[in-house]
Amino acid sequence: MVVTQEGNSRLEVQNELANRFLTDRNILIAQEVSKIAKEIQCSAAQVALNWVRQQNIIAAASKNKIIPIIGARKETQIKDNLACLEFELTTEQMKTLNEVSKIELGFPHDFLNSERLKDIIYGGTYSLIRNTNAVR
Amino acid sequence: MKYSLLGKSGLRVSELCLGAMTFGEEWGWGASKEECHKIFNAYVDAGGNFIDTANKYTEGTSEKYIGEFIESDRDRFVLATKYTSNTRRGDPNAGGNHRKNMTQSLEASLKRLNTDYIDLYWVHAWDPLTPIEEMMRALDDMVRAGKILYIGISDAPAWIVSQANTVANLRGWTEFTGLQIEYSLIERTPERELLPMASALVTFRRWCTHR
Repeated sequence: MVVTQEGNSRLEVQNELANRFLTDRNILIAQEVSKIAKEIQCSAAQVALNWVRQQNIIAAASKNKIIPIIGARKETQIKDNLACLEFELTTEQMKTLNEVSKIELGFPHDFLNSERLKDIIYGGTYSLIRNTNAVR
Repeated sequence: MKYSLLGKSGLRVSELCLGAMTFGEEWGWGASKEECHKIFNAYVDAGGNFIDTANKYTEGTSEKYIGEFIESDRDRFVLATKYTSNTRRGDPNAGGNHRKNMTQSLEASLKRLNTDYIDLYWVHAWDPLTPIEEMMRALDDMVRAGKILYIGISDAPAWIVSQANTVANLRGWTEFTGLQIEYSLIERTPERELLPMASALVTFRRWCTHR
């Protein structure tokens, strides 16, 4: 994973940002992104952008509601980013990326999602109710 | 390039938005005016109509460049800018979300952008010192005055956005139509509160320009 960028990039100018982003966890994620990019012969930026564009982990209705804001210092960079519109990541690639980048939701979400609490709230009927109101 | 409807509104925005924080070299890592024009043209040639800037970006240069680039075809673009950031160091009323800063920030943005309206006006960040009712009523006044068409909010806790939209809805004021946040493979924490909220209340847009 190459983290150095050529001249005057934001991470070079703002050390504080660089220190925040260049963690072991983020480099692992970046390596997975690079691997997929190499496989399908596109840029890492396009893979990262399409993960956001295809994201529907919260609700199916949220797909295509996220609009990435792309920024560039060079014409070549913006053209590269714009080309993310030409392809989609496969379900398998999305799954790999979701896995390597996953986070814990923490309280109260993990607590509310636990089987123990579902049993307390629904008394064994949860699986019998057609859930058409789900947000998550 | 296809279009999306912004949040619950009928406004058509292209599926990629052009972020203009890199427009101007005042912050040490941006692009020259010539390169900015090339970036802008590449985006427009690809079918983009959605431009995002802020009053504070490159100390006003970003807005000035965009004002020049869109001048001949202003109405085609969905032009978005933001207020909140302090623009006169040492003056407590030159920053924050209160009515006075909103008024002076908006007037200054309109002047730099060389236009008489903003399509989408963003609150740049939550200012805990300004009551939510003051901010929402003042934004609604700007909408009714025709100076801005839609409103959105960036960098705020989910409970603040929920409270603001609920208050606005109950009082018949303009509600936030967009949420602008950091969201990427390395920053998925918005999945806890902000994204479910946005699914229910508004739409969301991601900021991530780490060039």
